[in-house]
Amino acid sequence: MPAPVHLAATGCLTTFGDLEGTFAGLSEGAWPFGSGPGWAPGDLPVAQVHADVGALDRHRTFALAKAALLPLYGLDGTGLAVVFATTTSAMLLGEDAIEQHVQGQPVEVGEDLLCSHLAHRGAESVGDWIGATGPRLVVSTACTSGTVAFGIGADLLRAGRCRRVLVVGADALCRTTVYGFRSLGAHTRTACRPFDVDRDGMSIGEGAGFALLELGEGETELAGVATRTDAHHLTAPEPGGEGLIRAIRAATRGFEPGEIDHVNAHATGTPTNDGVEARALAVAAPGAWISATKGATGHTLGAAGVIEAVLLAESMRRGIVPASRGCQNPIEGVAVANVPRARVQRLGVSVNLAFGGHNAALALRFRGAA
Amino acid sequence: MKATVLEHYAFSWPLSAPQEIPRPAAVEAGAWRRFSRVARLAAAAAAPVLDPAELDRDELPMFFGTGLGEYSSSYGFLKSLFTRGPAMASPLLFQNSVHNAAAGHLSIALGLRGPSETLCAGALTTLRTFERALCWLEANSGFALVVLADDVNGESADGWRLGGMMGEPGEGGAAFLLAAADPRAEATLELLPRSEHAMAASSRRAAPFFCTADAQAVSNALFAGGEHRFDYPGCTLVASRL
Repeated sequence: MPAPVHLAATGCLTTFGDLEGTFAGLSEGAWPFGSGPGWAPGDLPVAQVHADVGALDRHRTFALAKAALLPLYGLDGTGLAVVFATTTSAMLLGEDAIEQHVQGQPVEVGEDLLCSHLAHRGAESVGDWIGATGPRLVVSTACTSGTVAFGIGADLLRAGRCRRVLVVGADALCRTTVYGFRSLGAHTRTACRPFDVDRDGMSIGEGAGFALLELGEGETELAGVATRTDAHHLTAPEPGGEGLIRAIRAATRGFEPGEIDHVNAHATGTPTNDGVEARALAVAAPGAWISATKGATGHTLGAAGVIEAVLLAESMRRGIVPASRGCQNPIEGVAVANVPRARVQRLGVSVNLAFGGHNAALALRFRGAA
Repeated sequence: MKATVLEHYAFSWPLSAPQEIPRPAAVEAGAWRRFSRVARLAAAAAAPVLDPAELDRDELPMFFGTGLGEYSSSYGFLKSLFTRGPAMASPLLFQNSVHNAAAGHLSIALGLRGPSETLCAGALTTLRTFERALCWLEANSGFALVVLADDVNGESADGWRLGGMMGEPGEGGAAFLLAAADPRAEATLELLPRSEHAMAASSRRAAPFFCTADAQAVSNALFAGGEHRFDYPGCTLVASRL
């Protein structure tokens, strides 16, 4: 048996604010989607963080991460590893430089902006800010990045490479992803409706989340993390969901599928993703309650896996499966609810799918009082 | 942490002397056309080390490290957006712009359906990717495929030149097939802790921005024989030929 690893602290920042606000926002509150920043196309609803985070870092992605991490500021960084999950890193400002360059204008930006594409800057920025002296690295497997980061962190701890691990996920809205998903026809022009029979696309969001991992038993333990690849298509999941099923089974090794109480699904709201995921979950987690949180937070890309694991842990701690906003008429067989439901959860799973035919699953075991 | 090295292959060249990347026989021509340059570099390195017949490609983990990521595809996508407008922004370049696009292409072309992780750590990318693979092997045993690739070419290099970020741009690919312990192996990789004094000294060294320079050096050391030590902040990577 591998040494136990637990979540010693968690937090997040989304369009609904901190963890408390976000958990409440999963079920009620203001409509989360709007037209976004000034550069964003007005016809694509996105979920923007409204907190003023600009003073924390000139790169919005890193500022979001630091704002989420404020409750941990002052943490002893000795032997602390940072595993940072992101998709586009600080690309938002790098886009300005590239726009000036391709239009033949003098590039009025410095080295810092030209380097904003370098994904590792996130781990460095957060590591310097919090004084972490352990290994720092970035995982960038697109929309599964955050889930993968937990597995890397757990292995670093078990191998004795650090004393504690700070798993951080962050992504800011930027033109690359907003216009990119628009170019693929994957972004809704109406509303994100995960698992709804009338769903027509995703809504991008921005945000950040964190989890502090430590060795030893705790109230919420990391029971397993696994990834598997479809080897099928770069942007479409394998229709049978075999890769996702294999990832869930690997992450929950030692448990029976029927023991899974709750799955926080990837549930982007695209017709293809949600259909494949529904089929896979019916096999890999029969009987589990399903929550689809992107109808509230938007799809926060590289941050999604961390935010959703944090929300799953909070759901297990409170004994409440949250509602799935945007889903009025669920796909047949998917046990989502449009109101929060009280339910004891001992084994919870969070899953994400990504470009590259990538599937990731994370399992949490709750040992606290129900 | 220590692992044996079953196979390794690396290549690199300076931007001033670019070379054509040979398409591995294992990759179909149609797929090759859709590959980004990073994916081509990665595939050209990975295909030759995947020969051992007993490898279970449904479970073989791949750890892909890249210092620069898919900068060229990101640049190309944004160029299409800024010059031709949103309606003409290229979906192909967008899907290739994510850092794990190369790992995805490799997975499809080579039939790799196991765990996959794409890692970035700037100048320390080679170290961190090896560290991750060694951690994995310690926890899971079996085999691990480490692939490293970075491209710097054409227009994408302009940004780096403008910023004065890269004294000598280059590109390349490298791959290492590791095993927790395999009696057939003639080489090992080991990660050792370093003293504080050594950490301070190593942190002052100038490092290249592309990760394959380090990977090429490790592969060269394994071919050369003997024991070679690569000092990094906090640790030393030891490459030994038995």
